[in-house]
Amino acid sequence: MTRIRRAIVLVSVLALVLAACAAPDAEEDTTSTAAPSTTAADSSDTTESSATTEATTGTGCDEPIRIGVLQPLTGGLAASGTDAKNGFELYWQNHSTEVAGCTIEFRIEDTGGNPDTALQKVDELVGNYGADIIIGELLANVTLALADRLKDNPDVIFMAPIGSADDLTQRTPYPNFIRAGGWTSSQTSHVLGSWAADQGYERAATFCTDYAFGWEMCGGFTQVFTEEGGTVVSGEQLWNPLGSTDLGTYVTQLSGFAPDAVFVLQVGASVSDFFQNWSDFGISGQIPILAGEVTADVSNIRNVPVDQVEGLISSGHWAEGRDAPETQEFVELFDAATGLLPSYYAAATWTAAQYIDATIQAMGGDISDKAATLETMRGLELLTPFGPSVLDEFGNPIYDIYIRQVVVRDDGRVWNEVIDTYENVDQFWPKSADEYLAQPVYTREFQGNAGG
Amino acid sequence: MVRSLSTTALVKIGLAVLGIAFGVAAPYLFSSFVIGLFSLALIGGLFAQSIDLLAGYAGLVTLGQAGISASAAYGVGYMASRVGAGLPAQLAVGLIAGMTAALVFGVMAMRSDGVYFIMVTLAQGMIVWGLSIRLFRITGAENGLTGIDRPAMIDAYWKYYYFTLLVVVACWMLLGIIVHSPLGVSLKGLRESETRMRMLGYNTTALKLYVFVIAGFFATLSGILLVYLNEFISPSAVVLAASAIGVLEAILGGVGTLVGPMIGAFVIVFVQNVVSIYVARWPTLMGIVFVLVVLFARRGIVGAISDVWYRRIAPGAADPLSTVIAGRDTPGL
Repeated sequence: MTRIRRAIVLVSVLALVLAACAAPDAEEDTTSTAAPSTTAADSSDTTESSATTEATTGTGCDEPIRIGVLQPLTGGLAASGTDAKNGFELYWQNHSTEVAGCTIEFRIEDTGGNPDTALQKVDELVGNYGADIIIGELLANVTLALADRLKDNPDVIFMAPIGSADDLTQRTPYPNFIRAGGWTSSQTSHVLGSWAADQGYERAATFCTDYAFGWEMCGGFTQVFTEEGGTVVSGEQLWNPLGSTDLGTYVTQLSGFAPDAVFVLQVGASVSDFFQNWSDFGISGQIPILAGEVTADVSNIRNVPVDQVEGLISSGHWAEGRDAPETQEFVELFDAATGLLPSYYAAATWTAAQYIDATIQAMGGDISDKAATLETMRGLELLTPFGPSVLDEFGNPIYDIYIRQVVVRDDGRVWNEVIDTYENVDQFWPKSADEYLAQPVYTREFQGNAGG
Repeated sequence: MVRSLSTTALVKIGLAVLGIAFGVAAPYLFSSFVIGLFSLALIGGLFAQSIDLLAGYAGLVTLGQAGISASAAYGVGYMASRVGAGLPAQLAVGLIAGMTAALVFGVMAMRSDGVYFIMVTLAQGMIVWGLSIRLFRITGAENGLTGIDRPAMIDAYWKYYYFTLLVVVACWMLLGIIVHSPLGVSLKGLRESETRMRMLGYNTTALKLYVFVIAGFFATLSGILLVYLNEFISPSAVVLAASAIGVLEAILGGVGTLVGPMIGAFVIVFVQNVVSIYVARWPTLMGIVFVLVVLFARRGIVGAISDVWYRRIAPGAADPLSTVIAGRDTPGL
């Protein structure tokens, strides 16, 4: 009996260890590799100002500038979170961490996608580590929780390059919050709605995941498409629960509507399931799909059979196949480092790092006045992997938004190439800020198709 | 015999005094981060105790307890964030929401037991989760509710920690009274054999409803404490994992005890938040710990310690825990 027990334990422990080792590159320590001396041991020091000694090498700084990064490195979002982590680290591997005489240190912490954990860790990063800048999470709810926690702390700048909840920079902005390198959900789907109307599509159906991000993406498309002459009947707007994996029933319903086009926003494992069903039911090529940015993101479509996604149209602020040096330089670096084409998660944290770098340079290394630092960051005009980027008064980027098409590269991998560009699109486009903010945030009930 | 019993009692009292003294001294010893974790662990421990009252004492394993605590948290959050009401209204609505959920869920679950009880409570938790995602106007859906502020009097992190400590210790004592009362004894009867209890003339259905509502009350308090600690509530507080972690904390620490769930909560919170700073693979570590506990210390950390205590140090004294699992294998544990 005891022998059997021991054997079971041994086997399960071995299995767990093996499972742990097999996973790609989350093995390394969560502390940064670029920062010279930030061992995690420093941080357990309970005294408030543990001035590290080597910081005196710079001219502008008594202390290093510290950046805390919170991403989900375990759990269901680990793949995307790891992309984000890699993008940030890659920037500092290719740029000096000595900026304007200051040493830049950073620490990357795992949130597991859980707001409780994220809130504890941000307290640790601010209180113990002494972070000047916090870079926020993938998930909207975690990002909102962090923004709320940090709003009363004037000594910290909070950047969220990925979490895209509309209201963070719209109806409930936070003073020390800036979305450099980020986006709002509906910013990209507004453009796709307009583009669809220009193609002559008259009636569109939508199929989005039933949560805040899906409502915002779908609402952005639906409102602009209907305002520019298209029709979206609310009975032809389908919503599937987050994480659902058999989308066959939805796909047959969609084909039954026989619309001119379908706007689709799926996330995670639902993406490949959707394309599989779409192909199985023989609808491919009959009804054009217009995809939301994340659905066509390279992190999602790299696992889908090529013939199911080739030619897929989507809109986005990120296009890894964009033919411009600032984009391709980053794509090649990322590919060389990880063997993958970069997702928008990676581009976002790289761009956030680029903003930090440029801001510290512009401030001459002294970022102790956080209000002035934020002001400087808002005023920057940068050429990022996304393209030219400036920030509006709410701290949200004004970008070129691309209509993208999935193309098979020479090496057999798929990526998104640009087929049309809408220049200088802000988060309210095509409306003015006042007009836009007078309406409620997109939900299932409010999709902007009046009387639809 | 008498002497060894009193040694056991003395040690227990000594440990309790030490624990409270340590709890009171903690803010002078540790950083704000660690104190935040203490608050989180105390709240998690209270939550796990409410699960253990059902699972360990009454033999009713629940996988939906987070539905009750989150209902309370959403009640507070709604009044604070959407209505802008004051503290009394926030607390009142929080309590009413949590207790209503407990009562309704109790009525739904009181006729089932074993695996069916697990499935019913699982469904209840998922109902609250579904509503939290759907009812945008009330819950803010995925975005959650922000703009919840702690009462000004206990706003500072250490003040809130002391407040949490006070509430949790008070609840702990109350739970201690409950499990040693005639009600508590009849709960153990329920766990050992429901049919026998019914034959003895107990209304086991009503008994299950009582214990469900009582456990729901403590879950409600933990939900209210948590929402003021985080000043935030979102659907991730209602996911299945949130309920399951409470069950795991109880198992890890030792089911059928009150100190066990608290110990389990401290272990899990610290692995999750401190060990993860050094070890990227902390979920694997937790998995290994669980496997080892389930195989070698089926009665959890507390059970293992009491084993050693009664076998080596105070032999001859009756081990009050030995009947907990030995009596019969509780389904689902």
